[in-house]
Amino acid sequence: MHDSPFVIETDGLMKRFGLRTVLDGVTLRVPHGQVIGLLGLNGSGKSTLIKCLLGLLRPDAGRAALLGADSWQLAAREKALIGYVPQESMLYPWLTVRQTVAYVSSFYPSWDRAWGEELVRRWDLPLGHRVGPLSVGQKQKLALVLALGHRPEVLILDEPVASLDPVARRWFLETVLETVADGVGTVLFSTHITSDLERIASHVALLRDGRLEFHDEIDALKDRIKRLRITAPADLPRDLRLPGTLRSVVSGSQAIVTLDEVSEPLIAGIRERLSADVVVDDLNLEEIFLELHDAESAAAAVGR
Amino acid sequence: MASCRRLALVLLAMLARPWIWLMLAVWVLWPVLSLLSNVMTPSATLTPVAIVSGPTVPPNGGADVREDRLATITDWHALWARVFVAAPGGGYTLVEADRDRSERLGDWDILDRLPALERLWMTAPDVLSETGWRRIGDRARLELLSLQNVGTCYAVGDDGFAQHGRDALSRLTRLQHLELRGVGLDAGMLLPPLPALEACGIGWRHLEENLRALSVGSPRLHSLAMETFPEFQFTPGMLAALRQMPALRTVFIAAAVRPEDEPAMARQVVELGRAVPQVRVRPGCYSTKRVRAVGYATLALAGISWLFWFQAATLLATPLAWMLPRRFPPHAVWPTAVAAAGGAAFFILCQSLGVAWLPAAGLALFAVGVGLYGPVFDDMPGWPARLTWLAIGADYAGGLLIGGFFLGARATADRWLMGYEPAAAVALVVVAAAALGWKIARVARLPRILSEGGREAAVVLSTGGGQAGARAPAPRAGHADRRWWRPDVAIDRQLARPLPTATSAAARFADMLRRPQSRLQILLLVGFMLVAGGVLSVLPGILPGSDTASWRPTKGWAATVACYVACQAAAISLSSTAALWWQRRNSRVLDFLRPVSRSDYWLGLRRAIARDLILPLAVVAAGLVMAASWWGQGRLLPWLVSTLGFVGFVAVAHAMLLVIATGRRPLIEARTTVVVLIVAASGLVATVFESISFRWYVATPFPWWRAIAGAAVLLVAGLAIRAAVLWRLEDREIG
Repeated sequence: MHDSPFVIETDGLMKRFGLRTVLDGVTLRVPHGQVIGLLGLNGSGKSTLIKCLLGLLRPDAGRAALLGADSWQLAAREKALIGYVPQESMLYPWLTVRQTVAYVSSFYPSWDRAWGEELVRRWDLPLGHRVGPLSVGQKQKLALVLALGHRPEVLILDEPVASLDPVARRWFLETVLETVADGVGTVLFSTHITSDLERIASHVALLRDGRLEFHDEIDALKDRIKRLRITAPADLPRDLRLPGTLRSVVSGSQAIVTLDEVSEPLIAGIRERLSADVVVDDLNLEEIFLELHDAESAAAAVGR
Repeated sequence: MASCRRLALVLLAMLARPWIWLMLAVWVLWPVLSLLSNVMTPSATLTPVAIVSGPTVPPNGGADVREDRLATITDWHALWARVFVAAPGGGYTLVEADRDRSERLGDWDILDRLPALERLWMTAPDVLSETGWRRIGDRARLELLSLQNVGTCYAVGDDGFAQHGRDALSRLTRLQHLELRGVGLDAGMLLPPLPALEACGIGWRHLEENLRALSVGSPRLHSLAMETFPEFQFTPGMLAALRQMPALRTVFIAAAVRPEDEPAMARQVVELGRAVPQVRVRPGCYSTKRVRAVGYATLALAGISWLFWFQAATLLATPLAWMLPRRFPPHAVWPTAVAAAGGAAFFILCQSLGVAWLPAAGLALFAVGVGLYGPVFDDMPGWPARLTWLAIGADYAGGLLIGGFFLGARATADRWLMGYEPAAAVALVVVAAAALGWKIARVARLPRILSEGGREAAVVLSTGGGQAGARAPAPRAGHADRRWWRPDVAIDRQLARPLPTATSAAARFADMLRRPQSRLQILLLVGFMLVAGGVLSVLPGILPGSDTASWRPTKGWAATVACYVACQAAAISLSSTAALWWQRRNSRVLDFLRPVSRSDYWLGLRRAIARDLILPLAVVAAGLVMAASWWGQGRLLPWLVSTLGFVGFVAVAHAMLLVIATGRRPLIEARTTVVVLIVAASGLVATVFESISFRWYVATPFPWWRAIAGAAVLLVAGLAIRAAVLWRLEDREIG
């Protein structure tokens, strides 16, 4: 076991590709046992962060560590405890499923043969078929078998369900939950599909333009970010000047405002200052994601 | 109007790719230029069909001519030049004839020192004197004597040449193969009885007497070449003599020196064929120019047709094309039009060269269809796949046969082109038309084939068998997998090895990395060597009536075949190894994440690639050893050049495979690798050829410095490329 209290750790991580800064000072610490979702738009730096963590890319500044070891210098011991499922199939198309499992398992001294066979059987993978012609869902199942067969301590999933249909996605997520229950310690799950994340993750890390906007429990995020519906007897001012405003859409005597850090005194103050009726809406993860990224969605909500 | 616009856009899509222009330059330009240079040269004289095999040894013995070995030499190719004999203690002695260029000319002193001589070749501008004839007659063990167009040292009006020649020949009782056409400007030699004679070439003077002598004194004669002239008429005596030859099977009539005399030769062939029906009568001269021109034209037509068929298949394989209504016609119009126009031009060219229309049509059909391989590697299992592979097999067999004709058996090729083999011509037309029709039908169904196969849209060769292989029935539980031809069955057995230690060492890691491909590599290499070696070995024997008459396998032939096969096998093995590593580039991320340290990963990758190179590079080394030992004839230069060049090539190959396996811009790196490897291989072949082409007994400038310089450049460039690729390799990012 490693000495660090964190399984995943980055400190001021920066990565540039040419002139473009993809990661800009990301500091993230994930202790053992968490299922954390890495959320962000396409191009926000999720995959780059994961690649830095896995030692595939070298940070330009800052530090990335996995299982207490510097990511760029991961030793065989640490790698034997990592499971990784990429977004796209990286398997050898000319091998059969059986041969692929045998090939990958040969690298791992800790490969649990019975567990691997159980997963293959449970997920109905055709052992005698070649990998190339398998469906996308079957390939991802196989990739998950290969990532779990050696009972990793940390499982990293880089948008693994992006190309799956809803049924396969649901199945995949259930499987991840099962595997967590079976003893995989920490899961880092990168996606831009928030409903998936909400289903399995306890924590969320929100990346935006290469920066870590938020990192906490999902419930804490939901408690923090609320949407207020404000209805006043007279026209409201264009700028409501509310603290922690993320989005604000004012239309006559009505306004919809999304706020970070909503509290009872704040709501009472709004009611008093604007002589308005204030309704507080709870947001799900997808709505929070949209509020943070898409101003138009807020504008559309005014019309409801 | 809309259809014209659609056609124009499809053409634009084809021509907009730089690739097509590159391929045009690589595959089409050189045969077109060769064809033009061949066609535009002045009319050449025809070449006589050989009745005896050509020299199997270097002129004047080469470096083998050592004083202590002369008594054992059995084959000698005499050349009118100085002959040196190496003394056992060092140094050389000048032996041969023309040191004073006077009375000793044509005496061939060297023959007295070759008591074991069994085969002797002399060709123009060699000459023979009375002493020379006597020395030939003294070689009683001679089985082969070729004196085609050898000149005379006799004074004008002296008929001693023919007399002394007859005396000499009468003493050669073991003679089996004799070539006398043009000897002494056809001095009219009367043949003595030659009881062991099997093949013979003679001139037109005293032809009737000589035929009579052969019919009486040479009962084993089976092949006869006669030199005649356009107006020549066979006399009843000649025909009677020919009918009386019990073993005679083939007669060649060489009646034409110029192409315009060919009709006269054809007339004589027909007349003699009717008069002596039990004997195969064939033209005894052929046009090298015609064979070459048709060969280059076939290559050019095949190349340009392949380019456009491939473009059509590529466009049809895209999802965009699948969604278009009436997608096939506009895509097929251009390759069909190019094939039709090219085929018509080819046909007209053939007609102008005197080629019969059936062989011309067969070649045109073969050439336009041979490159149409769009659906082949993804065809549906069952009978469509079988028919497709049958079509490929027909193309392969046809290609080998046609290639063999045009490269090694030009006389046979020319006879076939002139329409003397109608059955073979019809067979080619039928097979080529069937194969072409089937392949066009499959291209028309290409989108459906791909979509039904559930494949991504791409026309690619699936390493390991592709779709059909995936659908092959798996063995029943508890039964061994008997599908031994499958390239990856052995991986199961390999994986039964003990599991790695907790920290995989680089060597073990390299071993594990290689597992998915090692058997495939060996199968490809060994399979090709067996097929190509077998085909090349038997080809000269099965080609009917080839110009290598009386062909028999020799050490020189074996060495040539071995080097050729090694060259081809190395190219195939190297390219397949590179393709496998290129295909594995996407999986590199996962391989890197196996339990192995960064340094061990890179070291393991390097070792895995190096081990994969052992097989192809061993074949390269074997080819070089064969070339240096056979053609180098004991000289140090070929060995030195081969060693230097080989080391450079090894460095380049290893470095470029690392590039292809680790690069992050796959297409650029793949193209770069192909170009660099082709240049390196060409450089290696050129320098080794330069080193072995030197003959000290031939008055050519000594090119050692060019060979050494070429090898040194290859070595330095190879090491520099390798150093550049390996520089800070461990610091490279992945993915």
